[in-house]
Amino acid sequence: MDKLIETKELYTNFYTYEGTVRALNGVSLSMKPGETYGLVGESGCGKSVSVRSMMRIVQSPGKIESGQINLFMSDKDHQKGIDILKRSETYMQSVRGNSISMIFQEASSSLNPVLKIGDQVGESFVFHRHEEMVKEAIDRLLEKSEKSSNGLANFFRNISVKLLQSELNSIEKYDLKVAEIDKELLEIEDNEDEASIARKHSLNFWRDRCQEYNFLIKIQRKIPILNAYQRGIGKAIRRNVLQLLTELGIPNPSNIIDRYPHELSGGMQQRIVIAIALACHPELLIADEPTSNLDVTIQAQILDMIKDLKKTKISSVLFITHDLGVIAEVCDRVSVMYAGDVCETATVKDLFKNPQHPYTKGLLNSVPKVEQGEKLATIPGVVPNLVTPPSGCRFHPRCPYAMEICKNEKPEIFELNDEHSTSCHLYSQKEDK
Amino acid sequence: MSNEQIDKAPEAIEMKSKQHPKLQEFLFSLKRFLKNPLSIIGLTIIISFALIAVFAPIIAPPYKTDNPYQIPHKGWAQEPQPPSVENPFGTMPEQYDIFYGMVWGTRNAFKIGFSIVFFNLIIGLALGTIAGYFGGIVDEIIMRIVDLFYALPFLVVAMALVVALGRGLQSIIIVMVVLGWRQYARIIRSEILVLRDKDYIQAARASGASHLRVIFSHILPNSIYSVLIVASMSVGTAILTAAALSFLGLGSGVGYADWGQIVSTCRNYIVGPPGNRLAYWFLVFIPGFVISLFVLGWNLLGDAVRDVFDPKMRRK
Amino acid sequence: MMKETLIDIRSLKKYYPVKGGIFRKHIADVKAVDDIDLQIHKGECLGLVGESGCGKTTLGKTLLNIHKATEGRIYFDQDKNEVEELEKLIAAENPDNLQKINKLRTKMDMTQYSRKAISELRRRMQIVFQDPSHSLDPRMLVKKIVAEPLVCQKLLGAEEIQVRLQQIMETVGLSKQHYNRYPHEFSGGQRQRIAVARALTTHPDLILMDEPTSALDVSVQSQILNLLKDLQKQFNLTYIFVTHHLLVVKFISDRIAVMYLGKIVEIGKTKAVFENAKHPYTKALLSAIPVPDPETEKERIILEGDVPNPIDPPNGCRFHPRCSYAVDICKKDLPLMENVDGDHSVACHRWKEIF
Repeated sequence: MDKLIETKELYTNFYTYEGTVRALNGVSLSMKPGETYGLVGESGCGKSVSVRSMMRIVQSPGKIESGQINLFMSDKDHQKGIDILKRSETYMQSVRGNSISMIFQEASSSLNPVLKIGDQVGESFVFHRHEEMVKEAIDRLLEKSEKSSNGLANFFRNISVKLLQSELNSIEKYDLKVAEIDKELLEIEDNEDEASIARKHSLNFWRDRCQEYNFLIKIQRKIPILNAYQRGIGKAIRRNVLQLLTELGIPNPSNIIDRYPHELSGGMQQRIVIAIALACHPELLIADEPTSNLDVTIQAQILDMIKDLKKTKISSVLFITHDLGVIAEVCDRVSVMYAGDVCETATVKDLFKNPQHPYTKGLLNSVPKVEQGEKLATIPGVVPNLVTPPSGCRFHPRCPYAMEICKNEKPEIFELNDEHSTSCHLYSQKEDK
Repeated sequence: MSNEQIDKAPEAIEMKSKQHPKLQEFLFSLKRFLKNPLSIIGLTIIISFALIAVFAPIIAPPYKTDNPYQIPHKGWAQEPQPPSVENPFGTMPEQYDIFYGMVWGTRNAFKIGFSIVFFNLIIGLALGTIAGYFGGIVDEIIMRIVDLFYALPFLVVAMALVVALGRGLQSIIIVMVVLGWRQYARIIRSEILVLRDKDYIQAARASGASHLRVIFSHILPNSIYSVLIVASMSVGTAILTAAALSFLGLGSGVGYADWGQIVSTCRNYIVGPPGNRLAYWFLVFIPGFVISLFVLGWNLLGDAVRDVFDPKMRRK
Repeated sequence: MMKETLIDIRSLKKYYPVKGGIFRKHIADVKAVDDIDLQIHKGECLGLVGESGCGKTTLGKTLLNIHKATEGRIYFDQDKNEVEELEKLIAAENPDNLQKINKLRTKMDMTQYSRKAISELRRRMQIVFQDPSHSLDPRMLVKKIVAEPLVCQKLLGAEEIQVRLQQIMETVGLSKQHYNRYPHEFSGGQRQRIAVARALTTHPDLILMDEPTSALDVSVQSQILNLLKDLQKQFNLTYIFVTHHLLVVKFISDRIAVMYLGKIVEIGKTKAVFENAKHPYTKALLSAIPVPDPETEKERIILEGDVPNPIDPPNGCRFHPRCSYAVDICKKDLPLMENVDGDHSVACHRWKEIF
């Protein structure tokens, strides 16, 4: 099966004062390229922790305990994928924001209030597209000096080009070095003998420490007047930001670029956040409740924008939300999570028409519908505290069909068909008979 | 699903114990407190000092029972004497016994620290609460007064007040109360400004609670901890400042058992005679060490109090 | 309609001053609630819907006198004929009647009540806030939180309070073992039950529900909604249900009022508004609801742009810059409420033509 990213038996814990919060309890997900994948569940069910684990940005009392996260994007031919949990931090930095980017729930708090919009969008160009920016700046300068006949100006332009080229060289050198390390890492990835483990360690260590810029470049950037050549890069970034905002259909981009986040409305802020995420044409966009704080009409605008972008710019979207309506609207496939477990995975139509797991059924019934009777169905009880999660299937205390086995054993994933799987004892039992 | 199931709230929390919740809270805090090694060190230091203060008459029996704070001295010889069996910490100029001074000085240290912080708290809390809760013009007036007090140069005012009131520990305490309450007022006010717009304050107002009730049963219980944390930290600082003022000669007269006073008396003998610069080490080292230890104890304790009470640090 | 009116609002305004410049001069007003007329009947649930910043919460809180109204009259449980008479006097704008008007208003109009009269009225009007983790004092025991309105009102003796407490706590589904606990020990749904219990202790006539379920999870939200519906029947309560969640409002409300920028644009029976919306904004709002059913294919009206700044609302119809049906008259004249049929009214110049 074609895959883009998958997690296998992922366990993440949070070590707090109250005790260890077992946030993820063996989460296995897999996403195909080109689809919009939904992750739905109530607060505290581990949907955000799952994607944060995938990006390896779980914050400090939290720790990924075990499991695998395989990435299939940087090396398409590689069938096995790259287990990013074994990779170095700089590797992750080159992945984040570049091939996977993420947008968060609160647009207003994911934008820095003291930086102008243009600078914030440009940041991803600085991090991940520096080489292209430098090249573009060189091209511009050469073009200009060809046209102009002012000798003095051309002299300065020549100096700038030289300096830019030295920067370019250093970037290329760095890329070569990193590529070499990555290649070797990939070769010995599966070797489990002591020598290769030590080698892997040292390679990861050197990958983190090899400097992107050599010392001379660092100095040349700091010298006043001389560092004016950097303005060329700045201009190139600004041009790219403008182009990006225009492509995303944001009204009046040249005005917005010089504004501060608080001057924009919530919907516009969220659009800027999406622009930042899309700056480097990621293969996967992770959207963590992108519309939960917005009004319905603005939410409709944003969902519409994401749907449009899906057609043109981004290949795959991982959409996290608690709103089943949003899921029904944008997603192709869905996983339902409950208390750190994946209950059910299916195509959207299948899930809504033919839910299998008791939790999914309860959840679907408890949402107010357009045609609603006198009473809402409910799931009795509350979401368990994950410091002391229920034994066996974590849903059993609230499950109307709970059996003896549910209290003792964690259910396996049971494949109903190619597209539909659920982890519930009801189905594995049927199978036995 | 039946009606009954829906209308019963789930019993998610089992009764863990039959203890009263306030007691449970206290035990929880105590457990947190005792888990921290630094807080244990701080507590040990402070308890040892407290014991010394309580048993001062046994540790160093006074020879003048009517005025035990007067340090006994033998003769008027200027030259300080190093530690000996008779004077375990040595003697000051005019042969005052340093050991006696340190022991009885502990009592004064506690007196100074507690009374300064207590009065500061009272004044600061009252004014800060009024300013923060009522806002508007009241807030404006009180906070400008606070600004005014912040603008006063500490040493100049301290000296002026001591001149007016006469030398002595009381004057030092008054000076530090007059100049110390301002920070408490600011802290409690900023805390209350945040609280004032909280939903539960609005809820209380909406259910008809009077201003006094809102202040005493909602605002203060939720805001006082940050002030208490600062207060416990500043006991040590208060003693240090008081010692500094004593050292400058604003404290009580020679021979009075006060740590700052002891250092002040020994001022001329800090550096020994040529050839033996460290001859009088005990004059500076012993009182200095004791003062530092005392302040350190309070700071550690204050840190621990913050860890225990600060709601941001205690729950997820 | 023969229903008794519990609360009658006449041209209510709530402006928040914006101060600026060195001397904090009053430079403008945020018109959170701008000239609203509204009647709420006894025993009904009125849903107030609209986007954030449309003034729905402000309207609710001004009704309960938590915020002081800038202008307008609020009649709480007054005789209908007397109200009409007074309104006629006010409408006549005769300066001779001024004294009489003032006298009547201090008797009937809640905005003119003395502080004492208002605090007596508090018993009959309660509020449930959006997020129970903010609306319950974290350092108070549950039993004290629930009993607080009774203690403040000094209505009952200590023993009677205990009896009432037990009765109320049972009604909302909390048991005795929950009394001696702090709010943080409860889950979101249980906290909201506590907040509801507090609102019920004084046996009020009117409860303002300020987005009571939007901080809750779906499965818990349905528990609370069922509870609220049951309570309404049991105690014959009147609800003002403020929310932005249209499906919730559809479930619980008898009538709904749609607000946009401080104005009510459409009001009517829930069914009528959902099935036969007349205002373009209501239409857009309804079409924007994400429906939890992938099979429904529906036409979606996507509004352009954002809600304008309420400091400087557009002239004419407030909605015209975002409205696809806007014509010249919409830019000039403020549309008045027009009756569609029965209870259903709409404020739009072109409602007859467009839908």
